[in-house]
Amino acid sequence: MWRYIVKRLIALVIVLLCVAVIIFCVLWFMPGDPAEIILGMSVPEADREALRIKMGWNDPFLLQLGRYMRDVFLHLDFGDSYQYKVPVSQGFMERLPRTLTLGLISVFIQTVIGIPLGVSAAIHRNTLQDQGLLVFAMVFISVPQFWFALMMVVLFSVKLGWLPPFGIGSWKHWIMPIIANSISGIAMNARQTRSAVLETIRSDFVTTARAKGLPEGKVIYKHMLPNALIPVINGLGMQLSMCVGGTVVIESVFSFPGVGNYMLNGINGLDYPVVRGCVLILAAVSAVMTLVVDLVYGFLDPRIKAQYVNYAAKKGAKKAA
Amino acid sequence: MSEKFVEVKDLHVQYSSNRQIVHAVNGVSFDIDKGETLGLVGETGAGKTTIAKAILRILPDPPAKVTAGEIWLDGEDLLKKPEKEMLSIRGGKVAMIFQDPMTALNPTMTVGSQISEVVLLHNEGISKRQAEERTVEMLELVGIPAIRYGEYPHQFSGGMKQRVVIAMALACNPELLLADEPTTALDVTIQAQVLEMMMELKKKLNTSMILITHDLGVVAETCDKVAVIYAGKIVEYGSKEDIFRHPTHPYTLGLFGSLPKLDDDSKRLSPIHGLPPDPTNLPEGCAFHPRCPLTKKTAAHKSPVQDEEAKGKRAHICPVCFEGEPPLREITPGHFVACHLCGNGKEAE
Amino acid sequence: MKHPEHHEQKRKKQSQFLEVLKRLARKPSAMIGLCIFIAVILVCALAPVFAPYDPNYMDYTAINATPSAAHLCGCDNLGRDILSRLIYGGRYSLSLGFTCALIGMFFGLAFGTLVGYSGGAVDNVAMRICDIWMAIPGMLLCIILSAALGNGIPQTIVAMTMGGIPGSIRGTRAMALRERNMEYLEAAKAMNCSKAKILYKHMLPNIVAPTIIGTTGQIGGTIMQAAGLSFIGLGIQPPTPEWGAMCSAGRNFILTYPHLMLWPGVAILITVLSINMFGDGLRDAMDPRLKD
Repeated sequence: MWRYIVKRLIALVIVLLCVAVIIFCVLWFMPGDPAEIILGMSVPEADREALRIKMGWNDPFLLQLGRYMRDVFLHLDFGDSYQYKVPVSQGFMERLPRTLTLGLISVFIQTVIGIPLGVSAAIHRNTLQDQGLLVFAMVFISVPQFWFALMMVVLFSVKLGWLPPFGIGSWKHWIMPIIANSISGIAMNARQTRSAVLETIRSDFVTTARAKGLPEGKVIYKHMLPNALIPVINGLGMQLSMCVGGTVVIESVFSFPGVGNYMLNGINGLDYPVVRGCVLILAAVSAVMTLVVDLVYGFLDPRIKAQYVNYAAKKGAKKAA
Repeated sequence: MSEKFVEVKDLHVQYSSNRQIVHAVNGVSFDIDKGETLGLVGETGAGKTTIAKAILRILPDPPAKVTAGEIWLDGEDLLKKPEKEMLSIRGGKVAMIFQDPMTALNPTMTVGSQISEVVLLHNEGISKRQAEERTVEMLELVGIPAIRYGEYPHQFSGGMKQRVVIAMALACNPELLLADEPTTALDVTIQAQVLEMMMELKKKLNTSMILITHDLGVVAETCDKVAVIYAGKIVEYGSKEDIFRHPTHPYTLGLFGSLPKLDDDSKRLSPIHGLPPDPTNLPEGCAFHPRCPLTKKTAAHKSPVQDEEAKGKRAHICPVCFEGEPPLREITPGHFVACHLCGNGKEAE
Repeated sequence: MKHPEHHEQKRKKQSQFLEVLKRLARKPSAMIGLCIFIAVILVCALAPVFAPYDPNYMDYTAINATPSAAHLCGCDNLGRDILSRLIYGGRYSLSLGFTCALIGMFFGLAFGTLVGYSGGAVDNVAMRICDIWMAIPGMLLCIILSAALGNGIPQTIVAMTMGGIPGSIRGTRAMALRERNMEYLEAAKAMNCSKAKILYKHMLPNIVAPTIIGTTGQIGGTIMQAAGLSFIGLGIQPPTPEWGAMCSAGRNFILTYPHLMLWPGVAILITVLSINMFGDGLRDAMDPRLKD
């Protein structure tokens, strides 16, 4: 078990090293000159050139890359934002709690609404409720998130005046971003749960459970759901690991001051340290979440837990040989 | 009522799907005494499993529906019982062993907890610890060491899983055991072990049993009575001796003819030709007539069919075979056959 | 001896295909989806016939006009007819969705089967590359690639395809691995088939069908993703009448003239919905286990 975790952590660090290199390379190709953005075109070219030399932007590619990698992985220093003049890590950490809250609440809502909807649709399959859910799910899987968000703004902010259209402040500011961010997830979870439960309903062990004389409710909660929800929980893990990286568009719609908007502003302002830092940290966050989810998943499904054990045993055997 | 422990009368079950109706069971009747074993023999799809599930009332509804019949257990009609009372019968008084041990166990629960679940359910006021003790006892009874209580099904081999399934079914001392091909998924050696174990346990607990199988060897070893099922109907019914010594119905004969025999000089098997009938569209009259060698033989001896309409494809079939469903007739005491052409005894009561 | 056997096989294959089509045709939602989708494609492909106006013609008397008989969906802030722009813009959105999904499918099939079939070191290396690739959440990767490459159709295609390839390689590889352990491959090997022949004649056909289903499901997602990218100022930008870009342009007038971005969104919704309805039906028809 521990061996497995350590192995995964080492792999994670290697992956992040590679991600850092890739991002650096990708952004190298980004058109535009940050010096022009920072100083503007009104100052003489000599001043801009001086800035470029001072920041090391004229140095060879490999030198800059090496410097960046050293700063990031040895000193955990992501550089200072060109626009805000504060360290990226500070700017990121200020915004991360908001994005994390938005993402986690969304995943929570997707789970507690989507899964029960799917279960009840599957149990009452081919009823009006089931058909209704399928239509609902189909529509909300196909609706563009940003457009749905803006239509909510038109309805609830402009026409009805119930909710503030953008920014952050009271709890009312959170309602629309969370709904917009979770609606397609609810639909997807409901659909996935429904088909997973339908698949399990026909399993022999469910018949066995019925033949034992268990009441239908217990058959569902004790035997059917734990098995049906394994793939759903796997999908949930994916949603968790994506929840911080997937809010960019919604944040942009609601001018939500989270890391997504921070990164978008970084892109528009050629603020390389911000963009690199954001992508790298978000990749790290999602990788750690994936690892945690995998471990939890392993505890839920004994067959997977057995794989860890087998893995350890195999390693041991290899060592002995 | 009668003193028989189990009595199934004129059971009809249909499956309906997509505007099609499958007649799975069409008027099956049999009875079993206490401690007796009835073998249900027939091809895949003949409706054997459906009969067992109908007794427990665990047929998936929809699509399956019991359309007629009575199932009497110990003086009570199970089909008329409210669902709530059925719960205490399932797994308690009547237990079922399922066909495929690979899928019959819940993969996310330990085998121990799956067995103790049923013990807890049917013994009111029993403590968890007592249930665990009973489970361990059952596991050891079927030859599984107690330490494996906390293991999951995927850690067991197929034969071991089947033992677990059997332990689960016997855990509450059922009075009627429905064994649905309990050994089909197993190796021959394990098959023998499991069968022997089941018979021993059954004797110890004086359980009645319905054994569903398509293996005549298993029937010979274990059953007291045999019912041969074809297309959801009993075509021959009698004691094991009746069926094995004097098989009468052409289908039963065909089943025996499909078995290789060592002491037989003939080099070839005499299988039943053709396929089981389409249950959505059963043949008129006797369901077996399209495959029946007897009707062809008889038809060849008699004068050709006069009826214009019946000519052509029906030319080789005795007209009586598609005129009406053959009734189950008693040919010798306790031995019933449903055939127009053989066993000319009096009709069964 | 050989001939009738071959014939038999062919007949069976055909009937299987027909069976799928029959099942598909019995699903009203799939058929409705297909019809709508074909209609959308036809209208967009024959844009000059269906569009009432030139999509770039600015009618200064009709700036921000609300829907009327002359302009069914109204006009935008420069007086251009929104319906015409939608019809022309559909060309961009649809071709983006199709191109990206098809390129992704191609790479997934080519590399996925190869990697899955080779196994060993090749498989290991490829999977580690995919791990690294997928460590960056998909939408983020699209965003930074799109930012680095700049705006424009080819750039957007590259950015979006790159985001999806590792996922499709993984999916195909998993299928290839499953197929690899099937007994019919052993049989092919026993008959002395060459590696390439096993790969492309035996394995690929079994992988292609599920991949096509998967890809159908992805087209809708890709169209939405492209629109999202354009919406946040990357991807394809105004004055190109791509649907996402139109939403983006209409966003500034949302408080006063919400119809500017209502209709492009509706267009996306209808298109994606029809594709998903069809894709769902197709999946169910291919896999009848979940039918009832």
